[in-house]
Amino acid sequence: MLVRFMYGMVNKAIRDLIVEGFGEPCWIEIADHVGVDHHFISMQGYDDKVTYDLVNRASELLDVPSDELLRQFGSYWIRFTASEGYGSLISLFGETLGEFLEHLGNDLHARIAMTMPDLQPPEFHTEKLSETLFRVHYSSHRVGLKPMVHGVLEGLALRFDENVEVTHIESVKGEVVGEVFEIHILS
Amino acid sequence: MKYLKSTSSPNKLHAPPAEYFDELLPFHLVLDKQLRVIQAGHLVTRFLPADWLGRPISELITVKRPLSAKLDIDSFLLERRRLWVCQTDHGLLLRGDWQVFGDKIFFMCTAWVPKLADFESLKLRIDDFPLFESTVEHLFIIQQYEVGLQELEQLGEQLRAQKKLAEQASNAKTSFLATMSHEIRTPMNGILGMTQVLLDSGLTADQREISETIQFSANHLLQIVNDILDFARLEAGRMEISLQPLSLRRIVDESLAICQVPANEKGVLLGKHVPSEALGFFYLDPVRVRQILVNLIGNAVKFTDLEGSVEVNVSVIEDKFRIEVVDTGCGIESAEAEAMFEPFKQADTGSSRRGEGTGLGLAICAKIVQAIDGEIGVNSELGTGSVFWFTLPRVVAEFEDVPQLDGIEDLRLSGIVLLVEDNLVNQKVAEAYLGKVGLDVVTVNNGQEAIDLIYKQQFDLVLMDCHMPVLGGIEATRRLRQYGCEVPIIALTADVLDDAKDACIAAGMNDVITKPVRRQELLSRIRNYFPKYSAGNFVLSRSAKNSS
Repeated sequence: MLVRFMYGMVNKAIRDLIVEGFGEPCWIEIADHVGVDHHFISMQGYDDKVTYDLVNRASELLDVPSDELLRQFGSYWIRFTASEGYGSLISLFGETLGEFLEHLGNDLHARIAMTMPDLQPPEFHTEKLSETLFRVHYSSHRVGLKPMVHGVLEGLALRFDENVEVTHIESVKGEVVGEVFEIHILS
Repeated sequence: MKYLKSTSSPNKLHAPPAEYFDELLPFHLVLDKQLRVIQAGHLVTRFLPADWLGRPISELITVKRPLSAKLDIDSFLLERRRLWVCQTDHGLLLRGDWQVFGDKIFFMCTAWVPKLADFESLKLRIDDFPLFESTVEHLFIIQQYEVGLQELEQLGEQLRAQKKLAEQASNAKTSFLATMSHEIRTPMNGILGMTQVLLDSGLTADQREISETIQFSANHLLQIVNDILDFARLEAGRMEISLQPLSLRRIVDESLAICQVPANEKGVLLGKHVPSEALGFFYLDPVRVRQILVNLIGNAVKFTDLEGSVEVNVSVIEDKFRIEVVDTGCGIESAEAEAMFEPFKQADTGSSRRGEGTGLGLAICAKIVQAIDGEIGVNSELGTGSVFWFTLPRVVAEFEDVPQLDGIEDLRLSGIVLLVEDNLVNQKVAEAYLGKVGLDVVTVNNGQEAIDLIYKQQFDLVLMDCHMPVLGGIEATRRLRQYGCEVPIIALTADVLDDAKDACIAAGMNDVITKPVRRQELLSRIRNYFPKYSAGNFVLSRSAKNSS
């Protein structure tokens, strides 16, 4: 069975989200239940299972559906990466949400993957349907992260101070999971 | 590949068309022979003055590296194939090398952005760089490195904080143990001391048996308390090893003697073999070596049945002693043997004797052996007996260090002892011990009374309790030393921790005796402060000394 690795940064973001929203003791209970250390090293690879287990346990303990938790996490992810010093990277890819989305498919994850050899990052491809309507195609070997991608798109809108409507259009099943979203910039 | 044109020779590379040159190298510069800028990449012009065309290059950029290079033809030729770093007046760093082609000089370069955040201040965007450029990836790696360093720093802070908490907890434990040891050992002093006094008096056979049972039980309880304290101190790394010139054979004899009574009761034969090269005096810690031996012999006796034997065999291997305690007992399964030196582990012999003691004895032995740079182990099989062994460094004592090891059974001393002790039971115990060897004892209840009396009367020795009402022993000693009093002062304390002993010595005391006070130890420690006489000899009294 192929073991996939998630960089510790993702688990660190989950930790921070839970600590920020529910307090340190809640996080410790979740981490202890999953059987992981209370701290993660950003650039160290962790089995994907750790991330899924953390989300599932947090969902049980906080009585929040895991899809909702993943969506919140997706939105938080953008804020978290900016706080970790990667905000400039986001700015580098565009000054507006539209510009960023146009570059999202082209460069961002491919470049990140170059610096993290063990990472299996997703791929994005964006179609510009109009000045205010974009279709984002997401592809990944990981399953079940559709709500997170939804949240990430919402988090990006928040970062660029845009009011948007994100709609899930379709799912593509196969060895590589595909999800298609449309982002409508409302203002 | 749109930059390559197919030709008859597939390996022949054609230069890309001019419009792609600018796309590939958007930060490049081209000079004429007068070193005036005649062409610039479309992005570098953002960082040059508007009238850059035709101006000398030296007015537009400065050289950062190579350090000795200048913007002239000689340098371009001399420093060819070296990395050049130049900076525009707008602060943009350019990295590349200068190439001279015919009558033109090319600066084949790209922008160098040291930090991810600089992209924003320089107003550079991702599509300002060709896809093959790895500047962004480099910056991303640098950012990862910085995040990694921050994480290390945070982890370091957390570890420091946790270490501090652990130290506080350890100190609290040590303090608790010190207090408990004092609280437990103080009444033990009364029980053991008065039992000894009782045993020394005329008793009927029944009374003696009862008294001996009390003494045995009290000693056993004291041993348990001592085990726990010892282990705690060893765990905290606070046990000091005190090496003295001693006879190993004597320590073996004493240890066997201590175990003789239980061995006799069980019908177990004790024996020893000490070779000639182990005779003589060596630097050893008598308390600790005896503690290990008594523990191992005691265990061996405990698990050996009637008509069995326990033998202590000493051998010398290079610069070490190897001491084996060999028994003919029930043995231990080899799987269990490995765990024997862990705390609270006892071999499961299926016998009712399991559970006696604290299960700390062998763990303490292991830690002591470790502290004295030795090794400890066991070879055993179920049903064939056991060989517990340990090694010690063998360091021969210097002749002048070798002590006089006289017995004290017939000891007679003369002099006056000031006993400073608030506890009535302890007063009676000490008075009995001291009186029995011929010493006069004056007793006071606290340090202040002692100071007042010392002004009026001369003493040969002061035995000073540490914790007393009105004025404690340490402060009283400090004051006496300040006043110039030179009388020997020995502390009597139930504090077993080294810090407490250090405080006594620092205050000016000559020695420290730990409670409960044993007669043998008390007399052997104080005898050097008095003229020594054997029984029946003329005893020189204090008054006689004063008048002489």
